[in-house]
Amino acid sequence: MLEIINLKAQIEDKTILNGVNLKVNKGEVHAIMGPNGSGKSTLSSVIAGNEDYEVSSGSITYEGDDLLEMAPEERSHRGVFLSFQYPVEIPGLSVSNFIKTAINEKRKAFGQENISAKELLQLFKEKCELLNIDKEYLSRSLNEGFSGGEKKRNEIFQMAMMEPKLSILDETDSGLDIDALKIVANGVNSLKSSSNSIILITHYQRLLNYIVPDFVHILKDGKIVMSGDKSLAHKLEKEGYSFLN
Amino acid sequence: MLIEEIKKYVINTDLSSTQKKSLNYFLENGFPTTKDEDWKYTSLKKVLKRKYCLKSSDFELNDEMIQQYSLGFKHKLIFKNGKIFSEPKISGVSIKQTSDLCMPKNSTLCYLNEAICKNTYEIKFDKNLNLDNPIEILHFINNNNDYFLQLRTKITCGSGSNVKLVERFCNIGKNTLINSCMHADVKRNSFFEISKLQSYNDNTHTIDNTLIDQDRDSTANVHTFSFDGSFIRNNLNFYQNNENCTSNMNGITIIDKSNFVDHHTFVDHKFQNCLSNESYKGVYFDNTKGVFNGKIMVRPDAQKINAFQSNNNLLFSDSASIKTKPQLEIYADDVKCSHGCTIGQIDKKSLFYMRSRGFSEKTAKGLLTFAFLIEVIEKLNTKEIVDYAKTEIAKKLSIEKDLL
Amino acid sequence: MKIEPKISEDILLDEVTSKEYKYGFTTNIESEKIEKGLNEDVIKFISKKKNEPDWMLDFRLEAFKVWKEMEEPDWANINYPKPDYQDIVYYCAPKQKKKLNSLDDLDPEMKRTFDRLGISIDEQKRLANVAVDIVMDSVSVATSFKEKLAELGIIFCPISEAIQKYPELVKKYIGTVIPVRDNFFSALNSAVFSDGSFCYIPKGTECPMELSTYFRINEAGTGQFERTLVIAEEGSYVSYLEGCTAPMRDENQLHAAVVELVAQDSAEIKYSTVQNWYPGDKNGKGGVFNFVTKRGICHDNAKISWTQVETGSAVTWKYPSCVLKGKNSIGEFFSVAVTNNFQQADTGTKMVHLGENSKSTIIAKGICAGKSNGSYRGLVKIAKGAKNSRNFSQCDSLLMGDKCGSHTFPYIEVDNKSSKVEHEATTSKIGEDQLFYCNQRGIGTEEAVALIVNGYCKEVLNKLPMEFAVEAKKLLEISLEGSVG
Repeated sequence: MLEIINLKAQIEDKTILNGVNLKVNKGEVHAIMGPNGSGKSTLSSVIAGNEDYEVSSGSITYEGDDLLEMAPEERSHRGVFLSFQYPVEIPGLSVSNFIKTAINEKRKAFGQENISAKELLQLFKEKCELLNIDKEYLSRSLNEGFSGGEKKRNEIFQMAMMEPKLSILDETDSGLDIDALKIVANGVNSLKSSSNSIILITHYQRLLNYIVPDFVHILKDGKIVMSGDKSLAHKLEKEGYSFLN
Repeated sequence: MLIEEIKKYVINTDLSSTQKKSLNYFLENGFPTTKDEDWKYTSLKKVLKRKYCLKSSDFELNDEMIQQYSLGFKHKLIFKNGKIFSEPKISGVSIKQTSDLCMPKNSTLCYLNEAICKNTYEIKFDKNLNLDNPIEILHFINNNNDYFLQLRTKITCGSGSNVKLVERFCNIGKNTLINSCMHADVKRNSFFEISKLQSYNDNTHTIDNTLIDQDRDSTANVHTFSFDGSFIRNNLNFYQNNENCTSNMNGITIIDKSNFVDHHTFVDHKFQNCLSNESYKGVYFDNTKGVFNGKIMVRPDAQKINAFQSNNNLLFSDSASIKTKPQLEIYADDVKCSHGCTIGQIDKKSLFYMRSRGFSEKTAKGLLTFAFLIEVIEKLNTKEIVDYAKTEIAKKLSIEKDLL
Repeated sequence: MKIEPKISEDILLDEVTSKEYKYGFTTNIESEKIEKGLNEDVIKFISKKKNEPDWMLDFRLEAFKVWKEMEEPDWANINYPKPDYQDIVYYCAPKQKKKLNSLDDLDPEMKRTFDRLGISIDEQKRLANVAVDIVMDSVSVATSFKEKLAELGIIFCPISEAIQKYPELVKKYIGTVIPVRDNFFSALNSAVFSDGSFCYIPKGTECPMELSTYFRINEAGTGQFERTLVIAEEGSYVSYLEGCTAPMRDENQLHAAVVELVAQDSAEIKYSTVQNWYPGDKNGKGGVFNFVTKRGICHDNAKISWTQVETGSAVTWKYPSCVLKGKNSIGEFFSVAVTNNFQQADTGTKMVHLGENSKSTIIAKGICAGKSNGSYRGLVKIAKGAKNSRNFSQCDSLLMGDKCGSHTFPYIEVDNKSSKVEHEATTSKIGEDQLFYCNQRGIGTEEAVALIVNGYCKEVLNKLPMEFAVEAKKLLEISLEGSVG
């Protein structure tokens, strides 16, 4: 599904990713861990197509196509979803209107009709239940005045609504209390299938107790320095990142 | 009429060509009137009605008087009717008198000042000079007749210097109209701060023009405390002539009787990555009138500007009034500018809460008013000035200073 | 390899500026107009044409005298070539063979015009709840639902007709809220206005439908000077809508309207405007000069609410105001003003608090794109006797592109201690992070801008009646399409 080869990226002349290699197959869950400043969020931004980052070399292939050639919205239409570490606020724009537009834009890209009101309402109802969300929140302004936990839950809610093929969850666990974490993890787990893949970017092992990864990679200084199964995460938890030295 | 007096005065005076030009400009345009947008709420009519003379007379100035008005700073620069009386000897600081000095202007009053001011001083602070203590500038004024006084100072802060000034006017004589022009040239990476302590007597009418040119990486702070004086007009202009400049303005105004205070500020953001921060708080008793006009200009291509302005006012009397005009003119898109302005009273609930805890109404009101002002006071970093401000505030609010 | 933005700024700018003005067609109707120029004879002609009583002619002539002595104001933050007032046609009427008895008799060509404006009268009729008066160039050409309204005692008709049929009412109120000598443009309007709408809601009556006027300038070289007078008697309610369009013309057209509202004790008037006069082309050529004086007076417990969406005109000079004369009266102003290309708008409001406990709210949202300039100019005045009055103002501007300018000139004057005034203003741009977030969710930049702008204006758009809100949203999108890079 996704293949990253020797990816190098920089922001304002500062190299952050320094040769990342990663292959994600259908149905797999990958966790990318690493100390602060190792380049985790940069990796997610580059996959999503944030123009602040300049890719200096390497390639990203998604479903056989060059992902780097695609505009951010095209990547989204193709099923790439990024749960933002810091979701932005858009005053006056309701959650429901935002999601409806996102769904319809994707449909438009594939020459499909807009989603019917009935279908949309049904979908809202279903996913609200899944994530234990009060329906009233759909009419609130997007992320405006949301608590940290609400913002993250809103990201997963959008993920549930948009049914992406490749989801990148960037520090979705940070700032969540344990109850919220469980809800989010449950949501993610129920969205998991053999046809979609998930990349979890996290600093802590805690999330991995609830969403079990098939692979764990450690990113350090812009490179994946170690890969393994979930036991690697436990080792990290016990010994800290210092064992890498 | 004052204009006639000025015309008479210049006949016997040698003027340079610059001064002549300025004089002509002034005579053509006259004093500002309420028809000028910048003077819409501020009429000079009453102030100009008096028969002022332009010549100064002499008086005796002794240590006791100086002690009375000084906040006790180590370095003192003392003027007597606009002429230097004594100056501090500080290495790296030069003070000299000049006759003909062209400075930027923001109203016809600056032209007049340029034309007829006899005592123009240039104060230069050397490169990298780090002034350990503020210089206290004391202006003593005492004239036999009603007096129209011109003051004119050019300050140059060399690059990398760190300069703090405290300025105070002490009129112990008859009616005086002060027209003061100060131009500060704040060079690269330097820090300049001036605190204006406006505790004039009732005979004093002031037009205080301060224009500040800032170069790259510089910071300029102006703190204005307006407590007394029958008529005060402050014109404060900041020109940010390069990147990464910071301009801060803070003001506390508490006035009573029939006094009048007008703060006019202008920040000209011409280059990118600059900051301005403005906070003016006013408390108005009796028949006072307050005016605030804050203009922030962001020129084309001056991106990444943060400009904040707030003006908050408490009216304590039905005969008091406030006119305020916070103004933004923005020509660049990647900027964060905001201004807020409030006019109101002390929260009745808070007042009741305090009284039910046993505070007298006066004390409760005083403390709540002080709380309203605290944001500005907290920005002050000189002990003597904080002390001065608290003393004056306590006096105005009729509460014990120890409570503050 | 750098990831290129999908659409570069230049292309976007080009796209937006080449966006055609949707309403820029002219109607081929024979019209009757007089020679260019303004003098007493012209005024007498207009008055005679309208078969006006003497007092009306005197009112006009007096206004003309006043106007001649006045100077065109230049304090606003707008630059434009001052119109040559002798080079304008002051009367122009679509020629009709006979007086219309019903809308069905309308000239087919004109009817098509209305259809293209999106105000098919037939459809309006079917949808009901909107009674429409249409003013084309200078003359009111069609008013619907008259009879139905008449049953309730509501008068909704062209002002020319009101002068004939209800002279006492017109005479009693005209020029009372906006005196002839109020300003240059109101004086001009008072001298030469040719039509407009008149609306009278009797005591205790709630007008059951929205009343709507559609203004259109058609003929080249004509000025439009309409005059609207809305009177809401004690305890009544009316919601009034006003829309404006004009054809694309190279030269500038002049529009100088006067709108007076009178809200008697406990009455409420809601006045909504969607202004979409031709803004000129992308090089700033042509477009309507829009100089409008709008003011309402609120008596005890009355309320006037102005809502405006201003997207059109080359130059806008407009300050819908409230004189809060009565106790507990309420004034509101909700505005969205969009400028693009070379448009200039200087708009805002005046809230003059005279009565005790009067309240006012101002929400002004400016959006500037292209090389345009948008200014908010407002006055909040609390008079000494307006004890316990309250004002809240919020003025926000959103800048799109670095060639435009946004300005805020709020004047606040408070003369008593028991009142409370709060004013806030912010300036911002559409954040790159907001756009990227939308992009990531599959929403293209264009669509994302529309969503963000609509969100930004929501507080104001929500105040518009449903039918208008939809139109306003569309207008916003058209006006701003592609203006973010």
